[in-house]
Amino acid sequence: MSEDKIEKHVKSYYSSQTLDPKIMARLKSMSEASVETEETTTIFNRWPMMKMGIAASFLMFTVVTTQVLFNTYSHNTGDLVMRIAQEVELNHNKQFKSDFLSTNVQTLASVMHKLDFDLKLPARLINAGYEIIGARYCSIQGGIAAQLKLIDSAGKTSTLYVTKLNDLLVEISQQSQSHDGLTIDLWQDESLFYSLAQPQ
Amino acid sequence: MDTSVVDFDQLLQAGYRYALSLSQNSATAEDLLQDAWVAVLKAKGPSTKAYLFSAIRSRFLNLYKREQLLSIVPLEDEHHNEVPEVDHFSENFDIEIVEDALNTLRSTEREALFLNAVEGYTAQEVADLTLQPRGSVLSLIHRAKTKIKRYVKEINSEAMP
Repeated sequence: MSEDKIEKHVKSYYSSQTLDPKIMARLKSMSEASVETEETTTIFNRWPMMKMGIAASFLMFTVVTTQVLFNTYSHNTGDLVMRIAQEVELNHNKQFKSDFLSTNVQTLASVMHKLDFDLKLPARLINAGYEIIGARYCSIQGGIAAQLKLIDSAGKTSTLYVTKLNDLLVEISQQSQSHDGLTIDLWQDESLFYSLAQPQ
Repeated sequence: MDTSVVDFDQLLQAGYRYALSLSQNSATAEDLLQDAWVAVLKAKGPSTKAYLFSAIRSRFLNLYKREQLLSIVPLEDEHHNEVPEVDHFSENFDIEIVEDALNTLRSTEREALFLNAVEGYTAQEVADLTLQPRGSVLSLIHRAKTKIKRYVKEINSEAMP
């Protein structure tokens, strides 16, 4: 029996297996509803978006002002952790779309040329049930960082931030913070600094 | 998500067949597909086969057969009873025999065979999707075909007077 014939029969078998038309219709209607929701949000929610923009600008002004004040008067690690956690929380809540779509971290590393470090997943997230959806550039405390969108097995979206360790970040020990319904973990792995924001 | 260029029928059928190759049970395959599809839509992930397959696989591993997929195959199974090249399959497609033969395979073997023979993925692509070395994938495909040959041979021997 040739291998070709086995493949042919296996192909024929799977071709004969089809999804129940009712389930197919239900799943397709879910995707259509999802698209409609996106369109509705875009077309009809411009004013809230503007309000959000104004709020974001004000927030950014506040953050910058606060940062200047912090830099002037305080450099202790507790403040730094607080600032990073706030920055991470803000970025996570903005729910930006990924600029680079790939489920593979090595592929992302190969296209994110602006990063000044080798992008890789931390040991604790390998085989931890997360899937990568995509990534974009961002910054953490002024340093360039990668923002990776992840999804866990329950379908919850988390955001992982990766940046190079510097003199300040190296002082931060592994810890977990709670901010507005988010758990924000901060830790180091080899020469990189990681922060993971996930819904509680 | 760009819905204008995606053939959802084709994508969902492929997802269902992949889920079926993992579970070999239509109800489980439907559940896996539905869970994965909800997660893909919720995450606004790309409507690609690779992404959907990855979501289905992850759910299968988490919810159903982690122990089965991760269990170790005895080394002697690798080259056990090579079946001589005799044609035991008739030209006519017998769905029941193929289904029974596929049921004798392990999930990992069926998955590798499906991705390679039905979806046309190369061994390296299967390796990337299933996060295992290319050599292991080639071994799984070889083992799957050998088991099918053996099964069909046995069925034909029993049918002989």
